[in-house]
Amino acid sequence: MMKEVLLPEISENIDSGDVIKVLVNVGDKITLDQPLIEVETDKAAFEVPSTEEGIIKEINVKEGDKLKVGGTILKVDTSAASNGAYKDSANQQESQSEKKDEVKTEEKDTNKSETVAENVEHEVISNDESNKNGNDNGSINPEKDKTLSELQLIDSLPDETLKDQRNKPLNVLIPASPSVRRLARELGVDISTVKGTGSGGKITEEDVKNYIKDNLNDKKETVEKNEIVTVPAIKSVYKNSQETQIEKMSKVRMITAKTMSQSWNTIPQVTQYDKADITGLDEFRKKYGNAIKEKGGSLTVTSILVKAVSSALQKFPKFNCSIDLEEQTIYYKKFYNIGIAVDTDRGLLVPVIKNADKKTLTDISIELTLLAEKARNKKITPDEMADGTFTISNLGGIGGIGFSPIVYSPQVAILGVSRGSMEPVYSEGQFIPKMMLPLSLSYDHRIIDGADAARFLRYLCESLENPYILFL
Amino acid sequence: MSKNIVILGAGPGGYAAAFLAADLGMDVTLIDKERNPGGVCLYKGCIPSKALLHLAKLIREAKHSKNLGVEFSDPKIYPEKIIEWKNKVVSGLTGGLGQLSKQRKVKYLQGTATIKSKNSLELNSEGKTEEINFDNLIIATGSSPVKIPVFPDYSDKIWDSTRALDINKIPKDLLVIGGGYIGLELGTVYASLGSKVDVVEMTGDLLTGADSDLVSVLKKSIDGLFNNIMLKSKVTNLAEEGKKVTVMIKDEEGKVIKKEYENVLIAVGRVPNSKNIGLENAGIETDEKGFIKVNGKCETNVKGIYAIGDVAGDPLLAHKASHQGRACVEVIHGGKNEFDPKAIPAVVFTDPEIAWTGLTENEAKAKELDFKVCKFPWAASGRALTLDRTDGLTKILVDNKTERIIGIGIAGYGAGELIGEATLAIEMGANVEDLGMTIHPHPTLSETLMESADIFNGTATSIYRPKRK
Repeated sequence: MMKEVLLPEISENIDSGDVIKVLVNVGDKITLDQPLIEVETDKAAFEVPSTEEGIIKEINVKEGDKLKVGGTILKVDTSAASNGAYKDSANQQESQSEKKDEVKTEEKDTNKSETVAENVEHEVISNDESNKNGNDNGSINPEKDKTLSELQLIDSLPDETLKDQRNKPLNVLIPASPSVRRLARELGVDISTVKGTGSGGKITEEDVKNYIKDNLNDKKETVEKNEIVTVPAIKSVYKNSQETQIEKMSKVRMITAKTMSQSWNTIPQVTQYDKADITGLDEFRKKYGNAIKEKGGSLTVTSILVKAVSSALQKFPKFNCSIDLEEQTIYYKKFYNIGIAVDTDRGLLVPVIKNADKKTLTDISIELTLLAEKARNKKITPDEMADGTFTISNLGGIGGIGFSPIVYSPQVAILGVSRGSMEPVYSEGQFIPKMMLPLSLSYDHRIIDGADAARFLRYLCESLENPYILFL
Repeated sequence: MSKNIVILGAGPGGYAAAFLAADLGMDVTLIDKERNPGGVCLYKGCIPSKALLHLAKLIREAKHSKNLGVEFSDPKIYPEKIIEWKNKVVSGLTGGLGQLSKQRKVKYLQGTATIKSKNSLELNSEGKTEEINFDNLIIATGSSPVKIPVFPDYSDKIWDSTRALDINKIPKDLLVIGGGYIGLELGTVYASLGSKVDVVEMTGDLLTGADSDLVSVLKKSIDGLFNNIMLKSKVTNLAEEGKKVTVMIKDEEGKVIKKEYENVLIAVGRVPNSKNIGLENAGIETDEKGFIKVNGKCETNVKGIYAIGDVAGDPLLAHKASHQGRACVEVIHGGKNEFDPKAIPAVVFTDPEIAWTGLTENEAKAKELDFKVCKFPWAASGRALTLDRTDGLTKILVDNKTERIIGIGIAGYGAGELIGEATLAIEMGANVEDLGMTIHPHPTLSETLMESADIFNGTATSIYRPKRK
């Protein structure tokens, strides 16, 4: 039986996503919950699991497609689920041509198999083409080269554009006067890609100049990005080294790199360090931990910190704000959504506990356990990672005596937690062993002053020293 | 930058290129077999034919004025004086070009040349040969009338277009083979001067490629001027017999008719002058029709060698050649230019004239565009009425989505002069409303463009064409 796998509801305000990776091939045998494609929305990238079991007959999306919620991802022959005749594809190229044959001999549903044949053919052709391009350029990654050459607008002659006019709109339909077209040629701009702002979409001289400007900005950004990702020098140094394994960056990695660079480049940040005496907290955890455990949660320092932070944010509203310098406006948020950085094998993910101020410590502990697990199992949805107003990053489980986390824009502060240890604390004429937890608070110095930060962090430490305050 | 540029052929493409190159400060050599620049266009094409067509028009208009209450006596025709005047026009223009090329310090060499290698050619001038080296070469050798192998050689009875332009007598009857623009223009000249003119055309219509609604305007008027137009017919044999040329014509039904004419004009097309110029010595590629293959920058497959104009492919039009030539020189000069017109106007100087620019309706249909055709018949034009020339049609092709003008066709008196504005509109990316809202002088035929534009929204003043819902 033929069944369709559709793109499920992603989150409330999102009705579509970009397919960034197709993880399966036509002919693959898939199981329930097996990730099929990777979809990216403007909030996050995530994998879409299969809702069916069987052999893939047709894949209706390709990388770069925009897919609507409810749109068909692929078609599965569920009756073939137990049929082991199809092997998993090891070699893509080979299996593709094989598949083509398989599909062509398939006679059950001629209409459908024709579409598949076309699809596959198309894939094969485009593969060949990109290979050809690759050879022409003498490069290993034609896709990347393409974007690079597109960005090197000024330097590249439009030779390549001349050769490939097939996909261009008809010249007579391009609404630009001869002088504007000349300008575009001189600047190396492909006029058919410029958006016109004149009446009826006419392309003006300014449009061409702005196009260049925008692309230069893009180029600059890319160069900055490249400093982290691929500086040409790095490419040439390591390209031929046999001691180097070359790997494509994952989407999560790219998103992390981008947001980190952006925050680092836009926010002047300072880190405030302090230590909290959590000797009493340990007792508190022992006392209530079991009760929470029975309910499926786990009372950790982090869950207590979520509660403590939400309380601190209410007392210090500035730490829960966002600022817009252009509009000279501060936005004080009256909701307290605490993001928790989770270390997964896909990279850093940040699930968010929403309205932490309205939740009990038990609720938070349960939710946190659940979210962290979801994040690690790639089940987390973009919604569950959206709208954080403050972030906590706890590396204490691994170790360390302190670090300065990067504020996650548009938030204005982030709390770093390191490993707590027994320390001799001098008190009332003697050294007393205390469990001390090192905390670091990075903050956006544009809106938060040092004294505020010191007060905020002190307040946090005090609430950990006496967790019962949190329930007053 | 001391790179020189040699241009082979001094037609409208070659001399336009040479002059621009000189203006840009390059070292330019221009080679042509004529004494002065001009090429086919000036010596034996556009210019002399238009001079003759002017006379033809005077004669017809004088005759026509009888209907309007003014009658002239029959014209007296002095062929030798006509030739003299025509030659004066040609020598005036070509001499002027010679002057311009001296003023610009273009090295003008009269002779024929053969390409010897990727950077040299041999010039043959008055029996002497000379080797010339070049950094850049522009081939602008143009085209010639097709010679059909089974027909006898051209003579004083069997003409190609070149011979037809040297009027030394007005034949009693003339057969024009080929219903394209050259055949029709020259046929118009002779018909107006008094010859009985027949036309044989192989395809089903005159002016193959032009939209049939425009051609049908011409056909109505040409029927009175020409004696007989035979479509879907073919000349199977052609022979000079005594003072006559005997012609076997296989007509539409396959019947073969034998006819006699004093003269026959063969105008069945033109072929590129790409043979015997040594393309093979530099390894320059041509297509199966012999046109030199070029890209948008007019580059051939050989670095430093370019081709423009007729020899570089369709459309074979002087104004295409000159623009291509100028674009090519800018490329050589280091500019990132390219020949990328949105509209190349074409004009047939028959009576009435037919002109079009941008896409024709046929082309737009073939490209499966979503467009609307707005037609304004000249019967509604005040100016056309005052000229007693309501046999006209102006039509505009509008892209339905963008409302942009993608093509314009005009059949009617003076259409050739009107098509310039139409081409500008397309090149500027005008919306149909832009054309409609531009004030056109009254009463002129140019108003027909404005009115056609207004038809798009069903609001033309001089004609009631409500917009279909």
